Amino acid sequence: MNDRQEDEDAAGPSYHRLTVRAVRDETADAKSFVLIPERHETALYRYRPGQFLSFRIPHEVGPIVRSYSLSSAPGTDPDMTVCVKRVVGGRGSNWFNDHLRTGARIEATRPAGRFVLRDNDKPLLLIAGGSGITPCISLIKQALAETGRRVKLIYANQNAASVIYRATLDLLESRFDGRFTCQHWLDDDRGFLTADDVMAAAEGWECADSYICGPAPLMDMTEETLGRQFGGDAVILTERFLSPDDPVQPAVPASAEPVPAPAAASPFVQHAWFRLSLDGEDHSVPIAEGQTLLQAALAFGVDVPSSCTEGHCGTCMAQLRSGEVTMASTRALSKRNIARGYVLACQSTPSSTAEIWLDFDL
Amino acid sequence: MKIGTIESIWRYPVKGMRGEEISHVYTGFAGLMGDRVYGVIAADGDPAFPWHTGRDQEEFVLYEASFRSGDALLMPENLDAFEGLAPGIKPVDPSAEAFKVDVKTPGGATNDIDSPEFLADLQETAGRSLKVHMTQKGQHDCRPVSIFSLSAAAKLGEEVGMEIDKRRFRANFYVEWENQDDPYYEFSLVGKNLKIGERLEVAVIERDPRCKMITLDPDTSEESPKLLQHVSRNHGGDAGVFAAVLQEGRVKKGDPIFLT
Repeated sequence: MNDRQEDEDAAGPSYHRLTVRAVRDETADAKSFVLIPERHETALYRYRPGQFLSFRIPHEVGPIVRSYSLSSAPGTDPDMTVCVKRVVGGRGSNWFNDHLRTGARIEATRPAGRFVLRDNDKPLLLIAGGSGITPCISLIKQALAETGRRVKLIYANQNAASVIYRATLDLLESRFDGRFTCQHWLDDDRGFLTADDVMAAAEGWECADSYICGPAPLMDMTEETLGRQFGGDAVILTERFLSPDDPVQPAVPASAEPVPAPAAASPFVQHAWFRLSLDGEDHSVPIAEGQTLLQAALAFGVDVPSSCTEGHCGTCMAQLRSGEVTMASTRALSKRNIARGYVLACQSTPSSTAEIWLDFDL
Repeated sequence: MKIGTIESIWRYPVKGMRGEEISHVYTGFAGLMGDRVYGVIAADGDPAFPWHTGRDQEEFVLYEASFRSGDALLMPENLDAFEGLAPGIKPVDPSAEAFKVDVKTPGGATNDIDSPEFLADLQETAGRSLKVHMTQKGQHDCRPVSIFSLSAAAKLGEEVGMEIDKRRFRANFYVEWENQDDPYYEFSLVGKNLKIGERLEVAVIERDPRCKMITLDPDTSEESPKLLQHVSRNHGGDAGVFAAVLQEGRVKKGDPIFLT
């Protein structure tokens, strides 16, 4: 993916060391990097498909920060992977492609970003250009593997040789025949994608959640076109590439701003905070829509026990002393656990307006 | 260099049920002979992990499984004829009849695991549709051989503030290390090869990521979530190590362990 400036909070980001387990050539100018956190920091690198990491690169001009989206999905890929495509003159992207080798270590922040699936059953329409496929393929894998949603990808590239993840896309299309279609658009054959092309490809997908990622001109055009075509209720999320080398870019990158903002009036909004008991101490933990209780607690810096985050191991089991949650899976819970009011924090999202109190001191 | 001793050898005829201590065993590429050859699959289980275990029904760890053939399943026949040959030559495994298993329930009833009576009783107790699944190659979650030290069990008990029965960790080989300074010495062996006894060689592949099973008392099935919480927060979720077999061989209690 192209360079994008670090979105730092006031306190500054915290970096952790990742090891490059493997490097794969995707095209002549793009590579995938498989990244492994330190064993004791595995929990810090749980992520949602579509999110990105910000890297502190030891460039010869001095440390520079660049953000690259994860192309992996936790439900389908064993390890985190980012894909980086060279940008002409891009310091970060060229450093990755030229210098980062298997076995090397690099510093990165925890995963972040809001270019993620919304919790509904709507079909997904994704429009990607070039390395903009990176977060999109992560979303596609999650949607196909973990939901029953229909998915359509319109993927624009200059030519066939510049198509990233071609084999994976072909495989997914074959495996999920009827649920996933990938429409390739090659500029060398058909010219640049136009508004009319987008409208034709998007016809029948008016009720979909739309995701756009790619070069700025492509994104501007498709965002405007879909907004016009789908009307005011359309939900369009974008992930923009903003390079620090670009003098016209804003200081803080836009990241997945829905257009317009989702209007769903969920009882969830009542749960801006929840109570968490651990080691005899109480914490008030902020939680955002779509977060599990575990994600919210870890993001807030509470050292709650957790391991697989998939509902298998039972490490994050806690007692729900008040409130109600919906669990995506209860795999690690026995009938005895459920009778005692135990839940899996990694699988739980708020489902009522009652105050939630999660107690880990079992 | 000798680094430890086999304190005890355990195998688990049925995945998730109580294990049995054995004096010696043949360890092949697929693990200890007879280890986890049976499992119980839940119809409503996760396709990726369909097993019915103590995770789903705590009392499952109290079921006692044993091979009807007794010692016949500890060693292949004519093992001596094979051990002089090249490492790739495998001895002939026992016949299917040797793998017949009886299970004693916590209530005291004993049944053939393949009998309708056993399954009906278990399904009624568990409250879900189940089927018995058997394969002679063993049905391990990660790697075929697990190793856990008595020092790790003792240290965890000290850290958590409770008495820790080593059987919570359901290892194949419980060991005593020569190293008295590092109670979790096995973690330092990841990436290294060990020779156990006269012939068996294993590669220590990775640490053993733990789940809810270690919270269950092996004698009462009562749950102590704080143990798993502690392992997660202080040891990266790991306890013990997994190994893959490089050269098959017999192992007996008291065998030395060498770093190769």
